[in-house]
Amino acid sequence: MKPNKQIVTAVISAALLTGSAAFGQSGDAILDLLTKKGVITQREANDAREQLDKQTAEAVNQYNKIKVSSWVNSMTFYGDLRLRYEWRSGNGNAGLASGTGAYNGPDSNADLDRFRYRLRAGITGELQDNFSYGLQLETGTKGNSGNATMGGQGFSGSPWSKLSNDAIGLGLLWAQYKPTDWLTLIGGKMNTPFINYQMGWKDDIHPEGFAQKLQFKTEKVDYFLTLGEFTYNNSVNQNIFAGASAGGNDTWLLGVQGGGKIKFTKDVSFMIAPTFYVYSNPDQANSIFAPTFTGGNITGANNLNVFDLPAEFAFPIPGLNLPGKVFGEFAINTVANQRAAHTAYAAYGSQDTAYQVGASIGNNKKKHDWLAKAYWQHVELNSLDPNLVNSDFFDQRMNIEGVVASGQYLFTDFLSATLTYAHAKNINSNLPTLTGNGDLKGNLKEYNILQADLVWKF
Amino acid sequence: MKLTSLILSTVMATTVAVRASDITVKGSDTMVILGQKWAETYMKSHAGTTVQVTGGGSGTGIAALQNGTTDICNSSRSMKPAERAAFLQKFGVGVREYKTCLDALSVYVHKSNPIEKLSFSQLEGIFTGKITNWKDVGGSDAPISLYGRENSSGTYEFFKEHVLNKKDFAPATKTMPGTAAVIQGVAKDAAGIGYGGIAYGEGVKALKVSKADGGSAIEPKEATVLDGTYPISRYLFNYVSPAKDTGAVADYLTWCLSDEGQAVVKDVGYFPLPKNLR
Repeated sequence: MKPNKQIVTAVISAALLTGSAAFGQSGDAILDLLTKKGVITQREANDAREQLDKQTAEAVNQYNKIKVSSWVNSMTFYGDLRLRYEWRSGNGNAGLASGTGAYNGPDSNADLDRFRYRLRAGITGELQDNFSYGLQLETGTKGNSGNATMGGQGFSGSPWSKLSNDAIGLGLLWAQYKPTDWLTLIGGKMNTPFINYQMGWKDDIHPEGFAQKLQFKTEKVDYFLTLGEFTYNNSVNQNIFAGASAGGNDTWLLGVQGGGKIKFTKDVSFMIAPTFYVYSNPDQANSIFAPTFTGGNITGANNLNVFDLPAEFAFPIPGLNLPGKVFGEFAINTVANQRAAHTAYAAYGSQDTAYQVGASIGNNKKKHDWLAKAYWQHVELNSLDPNLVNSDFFDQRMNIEGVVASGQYLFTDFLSATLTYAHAKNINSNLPTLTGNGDLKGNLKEYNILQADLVWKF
Repeated sequence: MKLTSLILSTVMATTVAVRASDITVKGSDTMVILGQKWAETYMKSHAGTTVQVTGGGSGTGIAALQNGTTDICNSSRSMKPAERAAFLQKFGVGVREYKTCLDALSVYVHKSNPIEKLSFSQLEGIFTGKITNWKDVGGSDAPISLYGRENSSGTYEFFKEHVLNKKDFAPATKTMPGTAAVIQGVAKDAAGIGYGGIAYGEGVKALKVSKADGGSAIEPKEATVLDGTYPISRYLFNYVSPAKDTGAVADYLTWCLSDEGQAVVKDVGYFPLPKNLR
């Protein structure tokens, strides 16, 4: 049938007169129908469609009440709300002094249980020219934890008052530039860019500084190299207007991680990521480098050159059609002898190793998925940075080993429940465990924790 | 010397003038034999134009269209909404789609395989790895050997969406770089089964396919594709940016839909587009 230009004109005119963005979609359907019926050619339909697209774009710009700058390509809002019940318990170590802030003497038992909540809400955006950014706000004011304890504000005239426990803090603030497929540059307060299993670096500790990620993919192997330069401690002693500096330099945590993921098939892969962390300006007077554990708290970040090796093997579980994973992490502080020499436990420089070995089965991506996970973790006294180790497993302590087991179930795509239990003991009863950063006080010989979580994602 | 320079300059200028247009076509491996035949035939009657055709898969072609490294993308599947949105976001205008011909996406087995037909649920079971022996679908007692395509392939995506209900292919599927390689594999493997465009069906047997268990099994051929009874029919597409759909590129795209271009479609083994759809 000969194309009817009058019909094409009529379709476009109706769209222009109507001026409705919605007409764009129905106009598209009409053009498809006219093409199928042979009234117009595909080329005439494409020409008309282009005019309709322009009209729709103008209408959207004119009537849209939410304006964004033209250089913003996209924005994504995200977040989650968590309700938690938690019970922690510790048995004191009779053989050691209780340490700073102890409320339980040796051989005593401490129980802590509480209900907690946490909100994380953020936005990520893509700008033109390969730039992007992210901002995340969180509840909680203790350290890096986003947890707020119900009734934990103390009483100041009325219960549940809006005091510091309920404050909203900055969790993430970063900017990213990705000039090529293989290079990503990040600056700001970010999620840790290094792969790890939260033995030596808990995931809610967001470093501040810069990271560079390089990646190279072949059909079978994904290679990666990540560099990180994070301001661990900004010295307050540098004041050029106050005469001679009182001393002190900024401290940086420098990390490098290289590795690869071998994809044997779509479901079978092996990943290994050797990593090295060092600290700049380690020998100085500021408190971060003042190891004080003479039975007291271990907070110093001195003499830590940590080699870390996370790895995992992923495979489908035969017969169950579920993914399985065996994972682990091995770390050693190569200058542990020097670290021990600064303390009352100089003979224990060989306590320089930490490792984690675990397995998981299942998934946690969509409705009715479930995930079961268990691992064994062993952290010796001089092996890792006590300021970064996991605050739940096991209460941010050193010289401790134990098992963690958890089960998660997704009721819907956005609502899940997780139950986690861990039990740990000190590795060497002659050595302290506490760091001053945990929720329990005193040196422990035994530790237990139970957490029951409900999480809504949005 | 001056005369030589003058002659050389004239020759070069003339060469540039004669070789007026280069058209790059990239994408579907299903369409690459068609694309190359189109290019060859078109260039015979359009001396001023060079058309270069490469494969790599529909996904590769769509990515090349997005980053501007091809003029035309061949695709054996329709562009996804997210791909169309990404194109619209980058270029400020929607991509232009041209249906070029029809194909019966066929399921192929070795010529010696006694199986003549399979249903959608049997195909889903076989290609997702739930059914692993030919005897479970009425064949010989032999493990089924699967051949398939990479995930950049439009044929892979189309088969996964329309036959497997978006389920994943079995991990044991041998991933082949093109339909020709799939056919070669099946042709040498008595227990083999694969899928691909109808034009590649030399040396293997194309099965009849039924939508429902026990339903009518339909042979893949032009009549059953045109009347819609063959259940795995599809269009093959050309995609182009509106900014490039002018001049030599527009002429080439229009020619592909002409009687001459559609005669090439028939020659290669696909099915010409009915005139009312051009």
